[in-house]
Amino acid sequence: MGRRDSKRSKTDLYAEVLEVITHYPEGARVTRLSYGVGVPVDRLKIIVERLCSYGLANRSVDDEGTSYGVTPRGLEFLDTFWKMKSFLEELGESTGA
Amino acid sequence: MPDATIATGSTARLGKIEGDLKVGSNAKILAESGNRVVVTGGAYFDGPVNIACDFECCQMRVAGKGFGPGPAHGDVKVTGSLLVQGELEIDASAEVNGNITAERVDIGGHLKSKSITSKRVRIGGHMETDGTLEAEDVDVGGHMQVDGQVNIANLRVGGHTDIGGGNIREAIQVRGHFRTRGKLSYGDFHVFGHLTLPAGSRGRRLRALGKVELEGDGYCKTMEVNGVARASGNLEAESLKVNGKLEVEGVLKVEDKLEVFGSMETTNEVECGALAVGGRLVAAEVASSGRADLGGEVETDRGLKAKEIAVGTGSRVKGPLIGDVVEVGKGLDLGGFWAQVSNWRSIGRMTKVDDVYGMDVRIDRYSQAKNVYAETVRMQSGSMAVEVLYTREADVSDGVHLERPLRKVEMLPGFPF
Repeated sequence: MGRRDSKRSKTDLYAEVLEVITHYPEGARVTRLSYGVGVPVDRLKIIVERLCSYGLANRSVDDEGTSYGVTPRGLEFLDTFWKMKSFLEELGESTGA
Repeated sequence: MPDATIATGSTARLGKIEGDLKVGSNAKILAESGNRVVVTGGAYFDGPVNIACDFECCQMRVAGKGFGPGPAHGDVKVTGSLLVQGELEIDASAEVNGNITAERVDIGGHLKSKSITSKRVRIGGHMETDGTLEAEDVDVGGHMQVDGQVNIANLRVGGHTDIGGGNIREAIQVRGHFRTRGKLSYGDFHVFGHLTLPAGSRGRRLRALGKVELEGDGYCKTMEVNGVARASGNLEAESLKVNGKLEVEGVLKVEDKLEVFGSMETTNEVECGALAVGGRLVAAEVASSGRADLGGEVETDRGLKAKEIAVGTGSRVKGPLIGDVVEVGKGLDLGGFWAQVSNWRSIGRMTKVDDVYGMDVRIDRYSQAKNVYAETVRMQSGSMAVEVLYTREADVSDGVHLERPLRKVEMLPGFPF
């Protein structure tokens, strides 16, 4: 079961990471996320930290370690991303960023 | 302390374990006799495991250290079925040749299996199921494919979804495309990508942004088309709003209100309660049992019939209008953003309609009708018509342009339909 047939663009990857995070309302841990997104932990850490710096995700630390959640701005990004993807597919355009 | 322990990298033949089982990484488990291992307590795995038989336990947890190439990163392989009375929790991906039954299924990576029965299913990556899926809540981060029927209360999928049909009773949110090969009963459906529903599918609410294909006859109580939708059969709804484009090959029946702010086309009939058009509506004929507010463009072959018809300023209507009360060139407020956009388009345009049949017909200024057949007619200065026939009363202001003289008649021509 391969994760993707074709190479993902940076924007696709950001959206995918955020999407998987939304499925963990209790907070997503990087190990779990890495399996869901199909990206090694070290690379994923960089991506989620970048999402945090953009205000799309947030970080919380507890006894068990660091977990991530999606901010309202992140949810807005996801909605916009999927709407735009749908429009572009309709127009026969690629969503590659 | 676990009641049984299997060392990392070893192969163990097991029968029934009373209590908990603790297994190191990269172990292989075989059945001692028959094809089943039963653990009466929990089964805890430090990493990847290969279970070459059916496996039953109270709780199952497989830890992973993170995604990476090869099987060494926590993947689980089970050649039989999995029966977990409590939670089945796997950090990485799992491939189960048989069925999965568990109170809760929580997989971080991908899952491939036969049928799944569980209260709650959460998959971080993709889900691929050869059999059926029975669950209350299903949450998939990636794509989801179920070859058989589904029976689900709530479904949320981050990627594309492909199912064999069935029933999804409550909320459905799919970010990608959704396709079902068998007919589907659905609750509140919100899809961002393309949606394909076969004939006989029925639902409570449908909001679609991408392309919607309704193959054959379909029913949806409340439908909102924001992208492009096409129904190859008859379509029935209680209320229907078209902000994008809708094409119906069969008959469209809307019990309550039909609102068209985008474009709606059918070569057949449209039946509805109330009608509001801010965009473009094309049909063989339109029959509304209530009021019709026409603020955009309407084109019919045989005509549009309603109790009351109001044609907004700057609107265009091709085909006859038939109503008890018909007002042409009226300022309309259809409400909402798209209605406002439609109003902007019509600014400064003359209102144009074809033949008008009615009891009480009013043609306002800067409006043009072909022929007007009515009991009572009122025409404001600056309006135009080819011929006006009436039976009771005509109030025609100065500055009205009529190509033929105004005539009072005993009987009006019959309605076209």
